[in-house]
Amino acid sequence: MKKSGKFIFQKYDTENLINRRAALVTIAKAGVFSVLAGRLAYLQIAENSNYKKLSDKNRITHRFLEPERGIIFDLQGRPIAVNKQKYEIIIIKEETRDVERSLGNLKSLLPNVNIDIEKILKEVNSRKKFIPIGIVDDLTWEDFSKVNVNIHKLEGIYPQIGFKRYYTQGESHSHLIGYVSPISKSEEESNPLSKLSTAKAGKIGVEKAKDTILRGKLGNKNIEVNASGREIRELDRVNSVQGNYIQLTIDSELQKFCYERLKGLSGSVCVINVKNGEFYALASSPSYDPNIFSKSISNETWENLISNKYKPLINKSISNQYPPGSTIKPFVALAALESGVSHKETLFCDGKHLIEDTSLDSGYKTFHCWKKEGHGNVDMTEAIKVSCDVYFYQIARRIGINKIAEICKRYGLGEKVFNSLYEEKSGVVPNKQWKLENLGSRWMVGETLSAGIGQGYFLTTSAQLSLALAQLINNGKKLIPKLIYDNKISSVYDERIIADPKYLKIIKNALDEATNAPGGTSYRSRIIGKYKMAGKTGTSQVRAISIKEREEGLIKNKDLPWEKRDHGLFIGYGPTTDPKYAVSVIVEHGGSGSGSAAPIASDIFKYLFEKKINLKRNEIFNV
Amino acid sequence: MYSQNNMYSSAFAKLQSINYPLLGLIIILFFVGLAALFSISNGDFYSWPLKHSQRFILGLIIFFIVVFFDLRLIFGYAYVIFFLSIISLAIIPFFGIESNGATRWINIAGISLQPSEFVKYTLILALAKYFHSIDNDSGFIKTLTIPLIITLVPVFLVITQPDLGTALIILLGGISLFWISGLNYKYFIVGVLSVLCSLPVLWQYLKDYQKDRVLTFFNPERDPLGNGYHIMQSKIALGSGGIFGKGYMEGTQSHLNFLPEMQTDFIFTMLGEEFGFIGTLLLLFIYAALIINSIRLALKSRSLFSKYLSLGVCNVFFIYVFVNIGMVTGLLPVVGVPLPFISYGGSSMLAVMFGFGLLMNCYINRNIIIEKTNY
Repeated sequence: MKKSGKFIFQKYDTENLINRRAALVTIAKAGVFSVLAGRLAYLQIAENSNYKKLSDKNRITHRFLEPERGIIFDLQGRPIAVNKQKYEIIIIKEETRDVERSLGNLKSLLPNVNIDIEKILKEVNSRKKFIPIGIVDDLTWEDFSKVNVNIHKLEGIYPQIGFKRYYTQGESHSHLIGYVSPISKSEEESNPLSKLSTAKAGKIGVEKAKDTILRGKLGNKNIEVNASGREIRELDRVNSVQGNYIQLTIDSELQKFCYERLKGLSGSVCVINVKNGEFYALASSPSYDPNIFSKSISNETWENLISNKYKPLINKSISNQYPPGSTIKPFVALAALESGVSHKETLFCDGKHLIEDTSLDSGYKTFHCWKKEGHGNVDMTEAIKVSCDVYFYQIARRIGINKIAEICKRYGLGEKVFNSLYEEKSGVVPNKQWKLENLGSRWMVGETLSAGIGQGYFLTTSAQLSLALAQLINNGKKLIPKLIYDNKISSVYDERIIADPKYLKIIKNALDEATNAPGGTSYRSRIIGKYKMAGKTGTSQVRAISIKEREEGLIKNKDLPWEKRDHGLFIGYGPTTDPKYAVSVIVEHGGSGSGSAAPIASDIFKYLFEKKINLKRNEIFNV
Repeated sequence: MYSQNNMYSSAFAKLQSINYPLLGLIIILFFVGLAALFSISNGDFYSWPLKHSQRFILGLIIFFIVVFFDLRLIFGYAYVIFFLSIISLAIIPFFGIESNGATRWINIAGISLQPSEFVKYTLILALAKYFHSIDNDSGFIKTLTIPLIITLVPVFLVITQPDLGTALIILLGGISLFWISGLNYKYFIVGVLSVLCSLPVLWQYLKDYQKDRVLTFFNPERDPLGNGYHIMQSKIALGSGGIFGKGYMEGTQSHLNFLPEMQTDFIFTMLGEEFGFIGTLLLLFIYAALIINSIRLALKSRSLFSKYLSLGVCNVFFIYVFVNIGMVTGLLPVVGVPLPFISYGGSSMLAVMFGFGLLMNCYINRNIIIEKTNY
């Protein structure tokens, strides 16, 4: 036999060779099986706990449950802000292999729905990977079912039922109630709901002020999901807790009436109960539909709202500040009474009042009365009735700015009425110290005169004026202004008397004269009937009138461009016999208080008297 | 040739001389598959389990037909059978059915078949006949050219389908017969070296998804949510099964669809998840028993042809098991090879029964001596 190497086949002993080779193959097979068995032992025994975790991670997914927002009711228990079901779509980055592809598939599935893939991608990548990101906020039922049917093609995308805020009263309540929109970056840390990108937070108004009460608590659940993320069963759950209900002191019918009455004008109306400080209306015009914020708002709509010269986004009852004008006079008069001025003392008005001013060539600065020819001899009641400026120049000069400021502050001017509303402005009640601190200069006598007729540095809000008047009318009882009922309603109000009722009677009487006696500034707007209103008009200048202009004759308001016309103000109370309500009306650039604001107040009082609305709380139980 | 009478009597004799332990192991494996498919279909017998049973019964019929054939007849027609199977492979590009980007099936009398599954065994048949018939001292070219060609033709045809996994099994099955038949080991060394050298060239011919799979095999974290996903999920299923498993029909990975292809290629994983290490080890033992038994039977044959054929069938079967389990445990790239008798798939079931029919036939006719013929 030749050596095996020379043969292609080693065939010298076929039988043996095959057996040997088969044996080698068998050994190799045994080896391979041992490796397989070893591998299985490694995976199933050694690495078991790791893989068990991975398997659980696969099948168990944590989901947060959106709480339903608390409902906002009005005084009568009418729901004003409620929640509606909506169909929404979210995406979870962690649960898709390709966010872009999933979004692309969704887009081709819903060609009619506006899906901004780039924007969503940006959002997805900037958030933690397990946070669900909203894709479409408010879907039709047809589209929603389409998504449900094709869910297997949409990895990481989930259709779900969420809540959308709905405001039943629309634009008449929008400033007061505010609106909700997605939680912003800056709010994320303080708001536990930010774990859900679809959650909303109040942005303004009561929605923002009481967001922590309204928002509720997130629930969560662990669910078993299959590979395409579809929920198979729920493993455990902590239900979300609905936000607490809120009941406002606002009567939505009245609020709507006030808003309707302001239509076409730019301004505000506040109605307050003089006995307990509850605000029944806080209307502002023009307005916007708060429900547009439930969907993502278009840039165009937003731009229009922002650039509108009538500023529909501003709540003019608390966020716009105006010089109070002549509406300050009752308070200046009160300051005078407290300073020992007799209301019977008469002062002479010849249409102007001069004070020394060495900086001027003439050596005098002239302060004009609104009535060029003057009012002649006037006492306090007459001065309020006809709104004589010269009387108040002299009074103010006599008692000084600090006394005026003290009274105004005591009545709530220059400070926020509602501490909870973020957008509220506080106004300014100037005094000597204020000027030194804020403007760095000494107080001038002329400035006292301006302040005496509510001009100059004076700034107030509509709500402040109504509150101040209410406290003056209720015989000086300090009120705690109310907009929202607390969980515990206290019927006990602060009974602290802040002025001598004797003095207040004089002022009240003067206000009555101003409306209900011929020659009064708001006589034209008086209400004839069993119940009457009384009040003070005010016209606040938004521009300085130059000497030249005064010499050439004053330009009539209606001949000026809108934004240069005077603001028209009115503060009033009623019924005169047993006052219940105080009302403040401001019509921006409305010309004069008597012409623009008083008629509106008159209509509101008529409404209040005639309708005899039951302004008693219809209690809502928080369930 | 036999008379009618003889045929009946010999059929009975053949039935008697069948190795029933081997058939028993096959039936056990079938039932394991049935149980697995029953679990996967969530207790619905009428979906996969029913079809699996029908296929197994059809497989048994094929098994017995092959068993009752005269071994010499099989030997005589070995090349014809091989040629026919190659033809069925070759016509696939023209008459084949496409699915998932690969054309592997042809439709014969309303049944979709995958010819490549059968070619694994017909190649063994042809090679067994060839190695049985060659002379000891034929020249190198003359002796090796023909078997290499008949091995590489089907391999090439299957690669173009494309079906890398099956092609590799055909190639390995063929090569195993070169080894069994006693080819000098030097050629294997040369062969392995030349294959290693030509790998970069072969790489060019791989489809992108095949390249992906190979790359992912070497680095599963490369693409954990793409190609690595299958193998990760498979390992998670196996690993989370632990020693005792999650319980029958309780596998979360499989029942929540995290496992890919779990009724076919990844069915082992599903068993591992539900029956744990004990289950997978037991299954390995059953396969080992079947393989060892096959080898034992194979070596009893007196003719070289029978030995080659039986050992070849056994090797192909082993490669199936090894590649499939190696693949689902992450030891081998995912190449798409079913687990014999258990995976849901008609062609593979029928082909493997055909193969074991041949093996059993060789065992029954172990004492028949087959003369060398001209090839």
